[in-house]
Amino acid sequence: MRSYRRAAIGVALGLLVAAGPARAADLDLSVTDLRDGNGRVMIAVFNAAATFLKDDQQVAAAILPANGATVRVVLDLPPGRYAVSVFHDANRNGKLDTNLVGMPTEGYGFSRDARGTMGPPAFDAAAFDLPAGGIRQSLKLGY
Amino acid sequence: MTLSLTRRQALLAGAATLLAGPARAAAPDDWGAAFRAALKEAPWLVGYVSAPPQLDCAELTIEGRWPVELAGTFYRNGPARHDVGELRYHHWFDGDGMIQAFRIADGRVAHRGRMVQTDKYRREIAAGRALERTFGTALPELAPPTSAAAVNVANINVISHAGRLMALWEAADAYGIDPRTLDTQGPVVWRDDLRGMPFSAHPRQEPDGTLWSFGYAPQADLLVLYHIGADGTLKAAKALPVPDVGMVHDFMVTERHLVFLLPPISYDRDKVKAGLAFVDCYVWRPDQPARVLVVDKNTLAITRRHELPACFVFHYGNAFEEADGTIRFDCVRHPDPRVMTETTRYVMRGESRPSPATATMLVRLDPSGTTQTQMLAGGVEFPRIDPRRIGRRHARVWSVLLESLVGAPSGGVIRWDLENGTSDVHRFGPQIQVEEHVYVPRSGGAEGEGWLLGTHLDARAGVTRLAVFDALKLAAGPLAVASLPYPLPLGLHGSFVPA
Repeated sequence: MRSYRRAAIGVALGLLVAAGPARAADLDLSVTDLRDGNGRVMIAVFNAAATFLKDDQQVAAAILPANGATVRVVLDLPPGRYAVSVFHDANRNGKLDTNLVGMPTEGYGFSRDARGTMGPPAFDAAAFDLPAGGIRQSLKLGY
Repeated sequence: MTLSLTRRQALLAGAATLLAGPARAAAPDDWGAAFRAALKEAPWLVGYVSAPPQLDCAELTIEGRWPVELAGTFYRNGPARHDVGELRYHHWFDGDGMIQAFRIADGRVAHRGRMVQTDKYRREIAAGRALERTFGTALPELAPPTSAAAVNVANINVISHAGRLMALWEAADAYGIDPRTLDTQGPVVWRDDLRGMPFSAHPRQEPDGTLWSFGYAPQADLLVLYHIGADGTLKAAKALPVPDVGMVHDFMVTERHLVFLLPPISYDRDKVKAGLAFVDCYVWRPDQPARVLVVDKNTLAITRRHELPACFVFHYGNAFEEADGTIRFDCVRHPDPRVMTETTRYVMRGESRPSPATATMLVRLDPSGTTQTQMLAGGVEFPRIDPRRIGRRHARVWSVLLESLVGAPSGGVIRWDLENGTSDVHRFGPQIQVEEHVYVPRSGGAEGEGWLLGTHLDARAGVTRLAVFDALKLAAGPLAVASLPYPLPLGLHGSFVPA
């Protein structure tokens, strides 16, 4: 999950370019259960198992101020199959912090509230279909 | 709000926790029903009923003469909420922690009990149901936890160090507790990169106030060491790679070393991936020796390794070092881990599956690498020593005498005098379940002078009592017994904090 610093840069670029393609569908994404209002929420969207959680392989990204227990963003994407990973970058250092034994110390979560055992979930566990008419997705952060 | 309960009210409240709830979803399995049915036949199971979230008693009823010199607070911790919504946990160690405080002054005793308001407890109260897999419960409707910290139940021990009272689990942070109100203050962060790290339930405080602790991370095969100064600040922390670290519940210190015994129990990553509960991911390997690691306190590096015949150990009395470098220690030896994998699991369904007999094991680790062991007969658990002798040569160890950790028909307390191999025993009556007893030195007194203080659950009367003994005259029976008007859930460990 080291990909987020680059993901963060990708967001700005991604949003600038995003105006282009026609026939975009709305992914209306809510992230709930933020523990506090510090820092920001980092969102990355992937469209294939092979690229899931890989550096610079996200197809879209967003950074939102952590200004409530729930934050929401609408992303325009071509219809398709996606999985979303999110973390709460409370100290604004651009990465999901881990402790000395490698466990995350900031909140994180995946679409469909997928959970892995000993690591992140598989793409398929977190993946959902985005139809042309758009979709709402909500995911919880866990700390 | 202060809640003062009579025994009947407390029993009803406990039963309500088990039974009640408006428009509840169906129970996920039959563990709750099996326990309720068994409870009708076996009164001793009252110790495994979920407790009300708070309990208060302004004055316990005292029989005998409570020693006036003994003043302070006796804190205990243990699993207390065994049912979350309709789910009854599948292991005694799963229950959310509750701190019991017995305040002792002027020969009188008052009690207050409060749940530790962990992150897990608060989230589940808000959700009205159990959310994530725990130490011993992995039902399909429970999610894998996002971190060990997310399922920290802070339910094993409570200690006071540098004025800070801490409720301890072992796989994540200590929780700070207000010593007076028992309100939860939140996780104790020793250093930013140590958040959410495993921190044991059995730190050892040396006579100079230095606190040593450790944590084991079987997923990462690390043993984490903590050196905390007498002022409560972190002096050093280090993660030592230890292949197949397994499960390490307690440890020892000597004047120069930290001593770890690693029972031959392996953490199987395939079982983790299969979604089993944490305890079910362990495999007992009786063909393998138990490993002993000796760590230099100054360098935090392993300097000696020894092997012992396979055994399972939760708890150690004490270790000390002789002039030639021989390290000696005492512990409670279990022949295998069934106490954890069966006894303390199936009691949650109301089943009594006695654990194999334990013994006090005396161990010598010669600098040459030779090891010797000697057993003292008599099933025991929860060994305690004079806190002023930690890491120094000790002559006495006090333990709870029991045939099995669960469902023992009659327990007692025992003191072994290690120099001459003699013991002093008191047995409580039938249907008494004895919990950890703590030695409290008399101010300025020699090792052993003072009191032995501990709780027991009287299943016939349905109440918990606090007994105090002359620590050198256990056979004479308690000096005094203070009775609560209600039962407490059977707990694990605690500490006496002098006034």
